[in-house]
Amino acid sequence: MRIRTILRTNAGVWLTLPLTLLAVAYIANFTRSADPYPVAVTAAGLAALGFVVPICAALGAWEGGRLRRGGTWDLPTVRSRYVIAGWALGPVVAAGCVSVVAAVLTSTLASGVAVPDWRPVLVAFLVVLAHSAAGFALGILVPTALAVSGSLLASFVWMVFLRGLDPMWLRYLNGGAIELCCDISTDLAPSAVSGPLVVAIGLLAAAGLTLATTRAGLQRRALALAPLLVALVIGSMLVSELSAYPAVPRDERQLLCSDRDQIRVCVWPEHEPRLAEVAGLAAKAWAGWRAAGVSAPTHFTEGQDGVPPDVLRFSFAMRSSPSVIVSGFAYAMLPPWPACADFGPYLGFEAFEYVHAWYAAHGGLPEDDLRSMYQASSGPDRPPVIELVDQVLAQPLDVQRRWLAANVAALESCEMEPQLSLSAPNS
Amino acid sequence: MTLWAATRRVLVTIGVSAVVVVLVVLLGAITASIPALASARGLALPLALIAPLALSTMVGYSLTTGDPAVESTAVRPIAALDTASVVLAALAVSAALGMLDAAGYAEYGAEAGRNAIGFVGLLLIGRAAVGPNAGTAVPVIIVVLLAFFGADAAGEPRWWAWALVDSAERSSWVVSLVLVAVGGSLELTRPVAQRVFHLVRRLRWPPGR
Repeated sequence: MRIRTILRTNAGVWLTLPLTLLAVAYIANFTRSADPYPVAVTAAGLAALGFVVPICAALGAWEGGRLRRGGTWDLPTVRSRYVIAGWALGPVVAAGCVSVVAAVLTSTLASGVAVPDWRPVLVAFLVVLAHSAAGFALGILVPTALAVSGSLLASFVWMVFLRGLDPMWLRYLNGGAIELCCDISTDLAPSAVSGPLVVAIGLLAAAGLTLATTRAGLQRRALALAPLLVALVIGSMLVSELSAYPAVPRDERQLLCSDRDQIRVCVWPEHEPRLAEVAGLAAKAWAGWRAAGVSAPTHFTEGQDGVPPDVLRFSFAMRSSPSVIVSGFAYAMLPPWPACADFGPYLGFEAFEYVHAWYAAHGGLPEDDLRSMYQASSGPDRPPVIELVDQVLAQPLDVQRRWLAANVAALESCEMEPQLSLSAPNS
Repeated sequence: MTLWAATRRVLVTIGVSAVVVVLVVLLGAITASIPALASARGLALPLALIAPLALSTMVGYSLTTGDPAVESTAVRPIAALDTASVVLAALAVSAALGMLDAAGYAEYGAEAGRNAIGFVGLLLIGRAAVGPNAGTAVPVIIVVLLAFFGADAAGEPRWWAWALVDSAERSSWVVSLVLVAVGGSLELTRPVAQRVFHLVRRLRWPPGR
């Protein structure tokens, strides 16, 4: 077919611009990622897949329906039927891919990332292709009025409703849930890429076999669905280990480190512009805690490597204020959440804010920021955080350390009462 | 009448209506979280709200099954039968779901019932606007766009997203009823509209083009 004819008649060509504008408008209004992390901001652009893919499926069905209504598909042809389908589907797939690229670029450029991560984009392209081909096959098989609406509805349900089903890993079969990836300390899980890729290839193969068996009997046509079923089984096996987010820990070798005043601070490459500032804050916090007689690790890291208390794990965003970063250091000094708290009462939890405020105050958090952070924090059976922490900070350091040790011990166990006064444990 | 019922797949339509009701009762509470504009929380979209799209798709298809050339010479009021049958199907599904909701068997029955009426109205308007084949997709396209663009910053449906709001919102029922009234009128006057359309085409210059 002549290119000019395709441009004049194909629904995909006509709808490329509106679909692209919709995708851009949708993604442009999303809350920006605070960090220029390519995989995360690229994945965020895939949120538009939920409507781009169904519309491509419907456009594919429309193009298939045109060949069916015109009787062209049933005529003897010189060219392969796949070539004919390719000419009809090309603009539709192109419309979907252009929309995906526009959505992804909207997301990445707004976060300062020039080159998107290729993995989410590859999945999106293949999902667009597979759904368009499936829609086309449906358009060849059933009347257009059913095919267009049916493929749009089925594709929409598949892309959107898997996220509401249990088990949770079902959401990864359609490729759309990649948009949930990732925070800066994680990377896209390989199975979150391979799973939807396998399913999309299975759908594509099923659509191809359906086109090859349009004149065959019902049994052979039903067999055309076999690749999809096999792909669903393999895809399910691939993604069944994934939890709520399609992420794995990021390669620690990417961390960039600074050694200053005996303190080693490691951050992810996206945070490099603030490494010197963070290293200064870390040195100041470490010195404050040492001056208070508290032991603190000399290794501050955004990675997961190492075991506290040998390392202090923290995280921040590019737009985090220095106070937020210091507050993060203080949180990292708190003992880990005890396993017993998941199954029963956790009496020590009350001490959480008081101990954090004490670490933050000694770690260099400005007094005004500490007060604004805990201004409204109090409870019916406990004193206001600021009031008690002010009293503690006014005491000699050995008294402060005893108070701290009592509350840290309460935080580490579930049965121990916290000491929410300077004199004796709360009852 | 029998031939009309067979041509229009009335029995299949009744079957699809029953399936929609069962779907809303059994699986209607399954909820998708759709990423909403400028919102940390996604829009919660229960399956029940879109289940009536199966009905609008089926009746949309059933209205394309006749032979327009033959039906243009029919002595029976085909347009009236068509309009009455699809509107009746929507009202019947809506009534059944409303009763099941009131009885506590369908969590989103009233909303689904309202949407059944509105979707059929959109279908009929879509048929008049973009033709019988593309018209069937109009309610689905509207729902997809409402789902992705109809939520506010808190992830709640905006006032104009009539198919997503709670059934207690009277305005959403008004929209549904207006849609079906307008769509029904367009479908009912289809033969007249077609004649006017052909007349206008014949009057276009150059004549006989």
